[in-house]
Amino acid sequence: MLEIVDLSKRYDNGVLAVDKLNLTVQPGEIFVMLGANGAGKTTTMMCVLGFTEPTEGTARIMGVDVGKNPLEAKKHVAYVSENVRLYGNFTAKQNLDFFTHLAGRKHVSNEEYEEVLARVGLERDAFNRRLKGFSKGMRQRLGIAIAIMKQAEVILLDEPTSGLDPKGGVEFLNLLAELREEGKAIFMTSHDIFRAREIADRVGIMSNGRMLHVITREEIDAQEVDLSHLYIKVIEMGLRNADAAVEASSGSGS
Amino acid sequence: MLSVLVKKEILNNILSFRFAVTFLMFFLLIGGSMVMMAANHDKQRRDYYNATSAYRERVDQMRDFNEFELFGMTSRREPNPLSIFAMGLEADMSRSVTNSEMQGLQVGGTPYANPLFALFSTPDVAYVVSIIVSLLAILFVFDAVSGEKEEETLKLVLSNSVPRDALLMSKCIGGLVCLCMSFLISLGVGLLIARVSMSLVLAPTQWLRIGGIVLVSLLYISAFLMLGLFISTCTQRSGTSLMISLLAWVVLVLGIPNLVPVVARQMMPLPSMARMEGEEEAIRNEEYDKARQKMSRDMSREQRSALYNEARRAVQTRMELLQSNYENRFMQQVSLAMVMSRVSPSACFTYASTAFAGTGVDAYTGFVRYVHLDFRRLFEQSLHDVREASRSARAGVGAVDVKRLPVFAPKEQTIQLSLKKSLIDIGLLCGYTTLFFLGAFIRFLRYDVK
Repeated sequence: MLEIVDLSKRYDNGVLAVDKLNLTVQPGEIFVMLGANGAGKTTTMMCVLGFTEPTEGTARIMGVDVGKNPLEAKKHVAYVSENVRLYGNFTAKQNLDFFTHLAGRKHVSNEEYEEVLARVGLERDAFNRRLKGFSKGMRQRLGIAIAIMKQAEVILLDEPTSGLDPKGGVEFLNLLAELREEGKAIFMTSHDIFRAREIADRVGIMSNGRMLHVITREEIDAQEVDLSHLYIKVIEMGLRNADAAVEASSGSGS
Repeated sequence: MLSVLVKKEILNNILSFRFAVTFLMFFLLIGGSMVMMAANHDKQRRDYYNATSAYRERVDQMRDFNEFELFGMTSRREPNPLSIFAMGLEADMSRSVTNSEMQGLQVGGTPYANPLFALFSTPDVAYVVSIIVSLLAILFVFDAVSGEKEEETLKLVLSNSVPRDALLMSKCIGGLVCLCMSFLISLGVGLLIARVSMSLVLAPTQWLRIGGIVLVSLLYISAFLMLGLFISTCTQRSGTSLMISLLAWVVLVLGIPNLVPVVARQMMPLPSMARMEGEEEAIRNEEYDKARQKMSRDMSREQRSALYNEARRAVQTRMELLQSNYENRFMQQVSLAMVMSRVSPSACFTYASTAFAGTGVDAYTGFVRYVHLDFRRLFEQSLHDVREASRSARAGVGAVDVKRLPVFAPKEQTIQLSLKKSLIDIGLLCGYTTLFFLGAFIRFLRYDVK
């Protein structure tokens, strides 16, 4: 489980990147945080990973405070960045092997590596190829494979679908659904409203460091909310009028 | 955890194009330098034996002392095999000394020496390590941290339960293992070729000295590796790291060691040769004038001679004092330059490696002292002995005994003394390595990985 409690981050230049954010992602749940560039999504992610020290508040992974015990907290989290680059001189399997061992797992069989690589949709002939020739989609798949091999309870995905082709996008969402079935708590930031609508159990809309609105899958389905319309309305109307924005976006869901 | 990270660093380094280029450069430059310098030493050694035996044959054939005196007494120094590793001031320490009645003591040298050797540096192992290897070391790690940040692998690695100190340590160990192994393999192969093809013969103490040179080379490589790593932790972009690394290298390797002697000369100037000659002339005039003023017409010849001898002794004493003052000031200038230049790891490496090779500043000053004091005395004594032997023997039969001629062999520093002399530089190289590592460590603990 991921908990973010009253998290704020003000940078040295005075910019308030995250403002009193409260959020919980339960096991078996996918939470998608939507927001424009500069909304504070990545800063939130960096605070959760302990790379940025929050000005106030805290983040807990499986009950472990990231600020107080970052190394222990990171044992329970896997992270996939927007641009998964990895080590270009290594093959896919070598990269997977390194990160698996880094996660503390020992004695992993070759079959297990191949099984995971196949599961994320990587072609068999790519397993032993150096990463220098990999497309962005292939790297993204490998990033997910690394996250799977870590067997972490919480998975953080920073804009993971950007740059994926339609087929890759669908496969990626199927994979996320499988991970949800396995009980992983998945926290994902994205610009991709359509994929968020398809996969998310809850969607949060963030702007100027504030979580303006959170809508659940049930609400989206029951009110036939047009998520893209809602997103624009919420951003336009701001925090106080979020309910009005939901109402304005209901009944036109796609 | 550390072993996983170190294994990855080593594998990542070995698989990189940068490592392939670095290894090739090490192999070609260090191995090539060893082979070339060994071949050069081989030739110098043959020349030494040929010239010595030709000289002895010639002296053997001489019929009387006059002929020997006219020909002069020449003694040659055996070339130093360790100059293969660190040439240092070996070329400035003459390999032959001649003494003749006509010209006195003359330190050898040929007017036909190739001027290009003076124009360009000798590519011995110390030179290759000092210039090329330091550059390759700094270029090997300049983006170890900033480059991983750009590639976003740093974020991914640190999203695991990885302590930052372990990650930095793995980068140090991985870089050191790869560079040091490349260096040792290149040196070993070069040494093997030199031993097999050029019959390079080394005494056990010389092997110890080579061990000392290898040790300071490894320390020097470590210092630059840590410097590169430190710079990498101070920057966010690999392009910036590269620029700063190159600047640091230019300042530390090319700037300081070349500029400091000039600065020291400005800070502690020596009187010019013209001024020295003027002072010598003034001393001579003053003392002889004093003697002349004391002389009177009624003095006997013996009294005049005594006054003249007294004046000559006074001149000699004052000249020696003048010379001694000059030498002291000269040595102070050299010491000042050495102290100041030790700001650069490159200078420390040069001092330590040449101290082990017996081609450094101490060896040079010892050599000059040996030639002008010990050997001159030995020479004069030998000339006297040969002259006496010649007089007592019947001319033409064994007038000059070759075995009685002095051997030109400046005293070699013991390995213990070389170690003692280079301890300060070894200490400083260790200090720089530690300092740069600590700098990198402190910077990396607070490094912004975002």
